[in-house]
Amino acid sequence: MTSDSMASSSFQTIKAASSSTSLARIGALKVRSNSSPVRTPTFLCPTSRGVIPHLSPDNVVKCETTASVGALISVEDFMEKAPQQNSALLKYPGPTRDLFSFPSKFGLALSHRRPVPVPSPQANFDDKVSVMTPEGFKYMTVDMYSEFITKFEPDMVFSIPDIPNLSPGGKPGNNRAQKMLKRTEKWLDELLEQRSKHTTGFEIFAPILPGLAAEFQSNYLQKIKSDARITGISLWNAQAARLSERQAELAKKRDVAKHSGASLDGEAAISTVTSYVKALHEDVSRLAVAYNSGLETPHEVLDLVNSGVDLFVATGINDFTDAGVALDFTFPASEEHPDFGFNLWDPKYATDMTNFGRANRDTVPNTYYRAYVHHLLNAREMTSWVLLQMHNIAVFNRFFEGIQKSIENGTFEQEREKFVKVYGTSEEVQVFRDLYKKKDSVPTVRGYHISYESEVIRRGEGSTQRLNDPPFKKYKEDASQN
Amino acid sequence: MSGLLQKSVEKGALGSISSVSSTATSYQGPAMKFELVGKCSKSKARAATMKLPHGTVETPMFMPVGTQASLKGLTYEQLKDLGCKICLNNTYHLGLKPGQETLDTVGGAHKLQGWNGNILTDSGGFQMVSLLKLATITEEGVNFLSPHDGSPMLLTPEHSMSLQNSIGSDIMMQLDDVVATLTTGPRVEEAMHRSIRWLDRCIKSHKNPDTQNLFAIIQGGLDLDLRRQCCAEMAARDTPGIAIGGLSGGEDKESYCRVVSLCTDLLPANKPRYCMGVGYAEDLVVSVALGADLFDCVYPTRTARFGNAITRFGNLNLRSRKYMDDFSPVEEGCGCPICKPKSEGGLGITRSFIFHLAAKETAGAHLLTLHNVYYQLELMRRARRAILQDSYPDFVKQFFHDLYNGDREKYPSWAITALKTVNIDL
Repeated sequence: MTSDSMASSSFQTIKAASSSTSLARIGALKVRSNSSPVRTPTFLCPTSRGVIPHLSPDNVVKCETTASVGALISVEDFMEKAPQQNSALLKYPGPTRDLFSFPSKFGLALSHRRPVPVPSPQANFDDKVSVMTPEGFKYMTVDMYSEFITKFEPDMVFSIPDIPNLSPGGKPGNNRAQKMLKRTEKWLDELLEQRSKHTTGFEIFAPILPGLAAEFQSNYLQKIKSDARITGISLWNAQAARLSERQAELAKKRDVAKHSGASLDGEAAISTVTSYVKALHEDVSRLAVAYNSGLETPHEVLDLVNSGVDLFVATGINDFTDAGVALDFTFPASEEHPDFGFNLWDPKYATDMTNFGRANRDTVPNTYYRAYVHHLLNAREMTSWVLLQMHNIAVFNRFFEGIQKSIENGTFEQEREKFVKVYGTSEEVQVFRDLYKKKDSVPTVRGYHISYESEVIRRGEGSTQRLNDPPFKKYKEDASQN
Repeated sequence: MSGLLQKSVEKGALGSISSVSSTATSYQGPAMKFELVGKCSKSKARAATMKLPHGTVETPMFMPVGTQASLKGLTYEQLKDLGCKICLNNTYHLGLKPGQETLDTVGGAHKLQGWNGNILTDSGGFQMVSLLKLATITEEGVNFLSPHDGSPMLLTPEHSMSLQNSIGSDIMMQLDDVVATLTTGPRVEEAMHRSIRWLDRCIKSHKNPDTQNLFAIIQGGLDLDLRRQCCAEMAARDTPGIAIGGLSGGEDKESYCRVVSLCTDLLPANKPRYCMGVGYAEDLVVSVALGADLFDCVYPTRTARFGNAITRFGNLNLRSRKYMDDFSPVEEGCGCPICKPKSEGGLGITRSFIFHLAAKETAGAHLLTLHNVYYQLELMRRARRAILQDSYPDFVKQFFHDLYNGDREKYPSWAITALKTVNIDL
């Protein structure tokens, strides 16, 4: 079995986009660990330090993940303190993935950074990129990444893009843009080279560079298109675009002069994605399109599916879980159950003894009530987030199944419109999600999982506050507040 | 004694009169059947089955603590899979959140939590003393400032009973007058007598004696005479079970063992004895030998969150860098879900992975919590098996041998002394 023949059959379009307004399509992605090809659109569960947040591996097995291709592991989570020392996990005698005790049928994707990375102040080099380790910023050499790939035996690998560290709203100059292309191409070549020697084989996703027009990277895109060893492309940019909008807002509020010209033209991230996808696979159906910058709401998933994206990193699940929301939406949207979800912080659930979500009824074997999860949130008990996470993964799982069905039936576009009509817009559900969000209402925040946006905004506001409130106060301090 | 009992029965606070006629090895109350099923022929160790409203508990038993209606980070499926039949909730915490009104509306703590095993609740008095510096104790109850708004509040025996009735726990504890263990002098005696008076008030105000078991608590500090008096008085009140309280508060282990041993000698044999707040593995093994049946402690769950694993061969602080590339299981040969290798249906988690997660991702704490709770439960299960086979002394010897790697020099002298009194020679 040559690697080439494997790669060429790893992704297949089952139902191509047929509408002039929608690029939504059905595909089948075959990776080594999954026993049968996974239908796309599909999603990866994001992990933190090798675990799906809040879930011990025995609970992962209990999660409903039939529509998921697996989990995304970020190598920066495993970098150690001493610069010369590679991660101890690399010394593990078997494949590193066994350490994490993931279900054996779970596909693992490897990325150099987390889907929502902490912005790094350091510049990249020809042979290394700046990453955030749990102990601070550090360089990861491309060689080290390949060492991790060898040890992990992943199913999918995201090749490293060279994304420059720009000032807010900035765009790379011509020289920098050339360099971005050159490095990204070189790192991709090295990965392809490594794969040819690799015994188990893995699917390669080639990055599309954010911030550069599709025409600018057309040679590079052409190369990806024609190289049968590449399974798909990965898109990295929308997060940055969204952030720029927020920054521009902030800059306006604070100090216009300091950030003059900071605002991007507000160009919607989604339309950028569309342009890339169009440039690439209008006529090419063999490339899977991955969007690995994380996403906040199911609405974004729908928009991106409509733009032709096949594979997602469902970071939104964590956001809803941490905010105390038990999701309840379905796709197609149900008018009988118009609740997007239940924000279980809401005091009205204090004595609500109904099961906390419809999906929960058959995914979590025990009966857990809204009143219970409300109480656990109130008491800051970790079990609340465990239960919510398992439930919300199930809701997302069914959401993706619903998307696949509707594309198959040719009803995706109208269902997408109805979704917004029934559940409200993406902004509205984010407001709903954050209704009770306070510093002490979310799980303890670590330096490595503070979101890109909130970190930039925190710094922008000159905040020197700690990420978390101290767990205990002196008795008198407490009393004086009362 | 019978007069006292008669009086209580008239009050309707206790079970049927049939409890009196029970034989010395079993006790039948309206909400509990306790039956001794085995006894060590050398030591005072004993095994029993205790039928409670939410299932049977086999003693000796360690009860993990789910302070605020959840065992830190675990789901009740996980807890059931560990073989846990009874866990604790704290009355003080549940009284604050979700509050009595909510508990009444939803129909109690079992329903709220979706837990159909047994629940034991404390009286709330301990938290008054441990958490609230400004608590003052009067004959009426415990005065304290509300941690929410600083307003003065009063916890009386009646209020504690009412709260525990709302929780619906299978075993509830009387409100006792807790003094720091190391206190000496008249305050200890006062507390002992007051605890007896408060038990009477608790019995009188207990609304559900048919479904909930009220346990008395022996007080009296480290003073054996006071303990003797207290045992007699409490036993006379014929509660379904009796706890030994006011210990594990920094006293030396010799005194602890003396008090426990004295109490188990004096307390009726046909009722469960509960050592409150006892949780270290050595303490459990020795206390079982001294005749105690039930134990609880936050230690296994709390220490798990600090990255500590309790194992047969001693404790490991898995946050230490030396475990960074240690790819052995947390405890070799352990049957818990995390240590068991994948080939045997477990997770095959290594020390290295816990090191990697400890104090960073909560899943690391969940994993260690699973292991530690399993360890404590399994330790008591093994103790029970040993008692039933009448080989408890061998079990104790093997336990200390494993823990100290066979080095007798390291065996704690308090344990040697205490075990000698019950004919176990380490």
